[in-house]
Amino acid sequence: MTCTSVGIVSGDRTGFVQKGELVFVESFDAWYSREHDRLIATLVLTTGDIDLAVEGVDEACSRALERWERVGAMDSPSGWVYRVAINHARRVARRRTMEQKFFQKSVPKPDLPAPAGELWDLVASLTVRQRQVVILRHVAELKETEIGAVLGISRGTVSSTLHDAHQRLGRLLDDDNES
Amino acid sequence: MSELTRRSQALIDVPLVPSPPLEYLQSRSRQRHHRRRAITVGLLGLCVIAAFSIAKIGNSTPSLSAKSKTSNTDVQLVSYYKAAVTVSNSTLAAVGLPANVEIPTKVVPSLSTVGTNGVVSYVGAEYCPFCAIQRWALLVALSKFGTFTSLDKQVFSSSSDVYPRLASWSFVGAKYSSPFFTFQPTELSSSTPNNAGGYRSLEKMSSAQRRAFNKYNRQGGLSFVDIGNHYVTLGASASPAVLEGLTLGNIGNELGDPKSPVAQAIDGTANYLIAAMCTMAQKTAPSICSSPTTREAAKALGLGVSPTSEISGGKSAPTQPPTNAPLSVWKKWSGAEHKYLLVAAANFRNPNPACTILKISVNGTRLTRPVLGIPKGVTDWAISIMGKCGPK
Repeated sequence: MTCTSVGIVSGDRTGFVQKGELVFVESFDAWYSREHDRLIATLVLTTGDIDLAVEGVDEACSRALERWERVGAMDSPSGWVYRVAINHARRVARRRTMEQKFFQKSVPKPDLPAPAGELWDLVASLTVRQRQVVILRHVAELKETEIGAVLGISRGTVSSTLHDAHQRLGRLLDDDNES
Repeated sequence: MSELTRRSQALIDVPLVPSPPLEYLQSRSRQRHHRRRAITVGLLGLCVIAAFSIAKIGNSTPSLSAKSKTSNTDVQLVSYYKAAVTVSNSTLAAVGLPANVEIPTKVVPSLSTVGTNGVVSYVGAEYCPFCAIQRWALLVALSKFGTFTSLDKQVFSSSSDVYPRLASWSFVGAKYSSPFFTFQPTELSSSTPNNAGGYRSLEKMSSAQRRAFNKYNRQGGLSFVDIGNHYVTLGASASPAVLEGLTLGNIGNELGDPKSPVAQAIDGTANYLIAAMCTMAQKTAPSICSSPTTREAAKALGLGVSPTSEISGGKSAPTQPPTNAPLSVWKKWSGAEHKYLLVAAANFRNPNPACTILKISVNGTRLTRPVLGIPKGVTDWAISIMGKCGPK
């Protein structure tokens, strides 16, 4: 994709020429200050680990900043960043597990502080796929098509997974309220 | 699921961690690039090491050069050998550059002869009278850059050839170590006649030597000295007549006397050889490389600058255009990269003296998808090196 900065700035948005068309892209600063906390919350509830979430989000944001002309012009810049963050967090988690196996030491995962801890307890019983879909839908507030793009699955799969997760969470919330 | 959204809103309203500043994200980017570069360089290094290791395992044929052991060690030789290796810089300066000494020829290095980059190569024969005097000069010159051991086989050139029975020694079994370059001597034949009217075969040239020998010495005469694929001498650089009738003792004594014909011929040749070898001693060259005589010899060699400096200082790699540059700019860059790599490959210097370069080539790959910022459709070039390592 050919991107050329033309230096047209309109509020928080900057104009770029892409494929011969002038496209306005939100500035990284504005997007970052709006989305960072939501990204962290999403990753924390997806991974159940604050350190992992921070690592994933920082890495994804730094990559997004590097190529913001391209990422910012996407239909869902946040979707791209979630995808990179989740993949990076997964890689880091895998590396940590291997290191722990190699050095034969077990590092207990620290408990999440409230209210993240309570929410994690709620979603931890879901399958990994269900948890990711539910969190991306209700915390990251992505559309089903965007979730499909983030996780590399079809929209139909997102819908059915979301349906199953809702049913399960509904039961859990009912139990919560009863107790 | 508004309940989940409501509960998670608290996480966004009261963030778990503060947002790091943009400078932190930028520094992460820089670190990532450095890490990638380090990994790429490391992997390339590993590939080279692996290639050499595989070649080493696969190569079980021992080198011929170190096999022969002398049977007729001459006690005298030690002292004359010492006389040759201790010719002082002042003696060499006093001898200077005699007019009757032939100047080594500068050659244009090519890909086919790249195997002798970083190598001083000698091809001769024990019967050959021209080799007899050239060995002496080589010994004087090489001793300024390293140390010989096991140089203990006295020989005489053929008694039925021109300049009969010149006193010299053989490089068979000789070992030389230098921090600047490798010395690869090959004595093709002995001075012992065989039944076919020739001389008994001794050693064979390495493939790299053979390529350089065939390219730079089309008439096939002996001796042939190749200094780092940049300078060659064919035959003797001075007349072997000066050695006629002299014993090893006489020659050793005369090497220290600048006015003697022997010193004029041998030390004078050595001065040119030293100047050529200095071009291979890149960093901490020995003090003789900065002597007035060597500088004068270097001028005569037509150097001006070290040919090895072409790699780092002469031409630099073309700068990669930005990813969004037009294809025509990328194609121009590809052409420039190809030319640069051809020069770099021709000047490639073997980093491991124990190994020999068998083949070096520059190969192009037309990219079918963008790789490392290079768009598809552009031909990317890379140097490919194959080598083998002999037993230590």
